[in-house]
Order: sequence, then C-alpha cells, then structure tokens
Amino acid sequence: MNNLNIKIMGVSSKFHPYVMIDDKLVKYKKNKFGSYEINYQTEKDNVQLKIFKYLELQSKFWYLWALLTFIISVFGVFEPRYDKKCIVIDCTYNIKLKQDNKMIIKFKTVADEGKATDIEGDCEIEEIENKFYVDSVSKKRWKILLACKIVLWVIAIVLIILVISKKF
Amino acid sequence: MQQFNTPPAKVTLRLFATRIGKICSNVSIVFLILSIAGILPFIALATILIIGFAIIVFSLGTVFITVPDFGSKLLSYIDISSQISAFFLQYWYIFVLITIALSVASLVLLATDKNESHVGRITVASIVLFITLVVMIVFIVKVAL
Repeated sequence: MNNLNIKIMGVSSKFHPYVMIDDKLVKYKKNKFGSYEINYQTEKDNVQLKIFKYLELQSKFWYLWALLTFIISVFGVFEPRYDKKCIVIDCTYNIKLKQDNKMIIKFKTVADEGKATDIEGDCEIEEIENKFYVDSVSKKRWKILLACKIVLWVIAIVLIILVISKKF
Repeated sequence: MQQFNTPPAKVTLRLFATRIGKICSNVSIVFLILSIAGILPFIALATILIIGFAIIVFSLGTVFITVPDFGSKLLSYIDISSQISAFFLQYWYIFVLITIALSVASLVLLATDKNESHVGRITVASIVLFITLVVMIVFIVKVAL
C-alpha cells in the first residue's frame, strides 16, 4: 500500500478548488495550521492528480438553474452574483509513488493567466498542466445571463408601471 | 488550448444548493423584518416608504408621469401604516414560520457544503433564527395574555 500525503496551501474562502485523484473527487480537510490536507492510499505505483475549479455557469443545465434561482430570488434581488471574472484553474500531475510520499501544493494569487501552483514533494512529479485561465464559455454565458436579466428587468419595470397606473 | 470542464451532477447540485442557501439566508432577513413589523409599528411605516422609494427608483422616475399624484398617494398610505401593522400582527405566525423555514434551510444547505466554508452567512442565519424564535415567544405571550 502506497501513501500519498498532500498539503494544499493558499486556498482562500473565495477560491476553493476540487481535487481529483485518478478521476475521483477527493475530499480535503483543514488542519490546525490553516492549510488543507489529503491522505490518500492506493495499491497503484502511478496516480494522476487533477486540481481544478468549477464555475456554476459551466454546468450542463446552467440556464435552467439560473432561471430558477432568478425567479426564487425575486428577480435576482436576493441572489448572490455569479463569478464575473470566470477564472478557473487547470492543474494535472502524474505522480510516481513510493511507499510514503509527501507533496505540498502552494496556490499563487488568482490571476487571469499564468502558473497556478508551486509544487514541492519527495516523490517524482510530472507536471502536465498548471495554469490559471479565463473560461471563455462561462464568460460568454455570464454575458448572455446579464443581457437576459436586463431584458426581464425592463419587462418587470414596464409591468409595474402599468399595474400602478391602473391601480391608482 | 483552453479546456472546458462540465462539472459532474453531484458538484452541480452542490453549487446549486449553496446558491439556494444564500438566497434563503438573504430572504429570511426580509421576512424577519416583516415578522417584527407586527410588534413595532414604525417598521410598517418604513416598509411603505421603502416600497415607494423602490417604485420611484425601478421605474426610473416615470411613475410620476404615469401617476402624477404618486407622492400624495404615497403619503396617504403612510396614514394607514397602523392598519398595515395590524395586518402583520394578525398574520404574525405566517411570517415567523416562513422566516424559521428559510433560516433553517439556509443553515442546512450552507453547513453541509464541505468544499467551501460559509461562516459569515451561517452566523447571520443563526442570529436570524434566534431573533425569530424570540419574536415568536413574544407573540405567543402577547396572544396568551
């Protein structure tokens, strides 16, 4: 059995990434020093580690969720905003395992582009991808959503004016 | 090359649940104010003024064109604020129950998010729940007496 201990540093409350080992989501726990830790055990000698961030606007039925929450939140009045910047991360590493392996992942400051993490470890790590980038699809969806909201707001305002003018 | 990751259904539902939790937390504050409006009559007055102000802002001032005497009509509504307060006092249990349901829903949805911590919102929802329970006791005592 090979043990892989991963420490994740620099994760903020606004930027929580998802971690996958061999295409399975792995949960991480906060330790007493404020960083996050994963203890993973496997029989394999090689694992693939993926770190990424999902945006709500990346989901399959994003328009349905957006419409539903827009209605529930009284035309978006009580709704939290969608991430305007649409910055995501894509980090993929192949790790060759020994019996005990330690790895430290340090996140850099979130930016539109550039290297996302610094990695240290006592095992053999092959970096396949390591970057921040603006997700163009989500950005486009955010703009569509904003346009739809403006149209719906204009319709609502016209309706309010009509109702008030008839009522008074 | 830029990649596009579609989140798995589980993650999508989690993100959606968190969003709903935040909405519930925001709406529960409004319902808490409406619950208290039965006890404190000035809240009914403030509600009328806020609604009037919102109508002016959202209609971009055009309400004064469509309803020329909007200002005086708004003032006449202020006169009946005691009736509005009586309405909140009569149906207090509806507002209190909705507030409790919303704050509990937001607490559950946000506390079960294991990927992100929502300490601030959970604290606010807990305070809202506590105040609502106090308001409920006040109403029950008032009705019993």
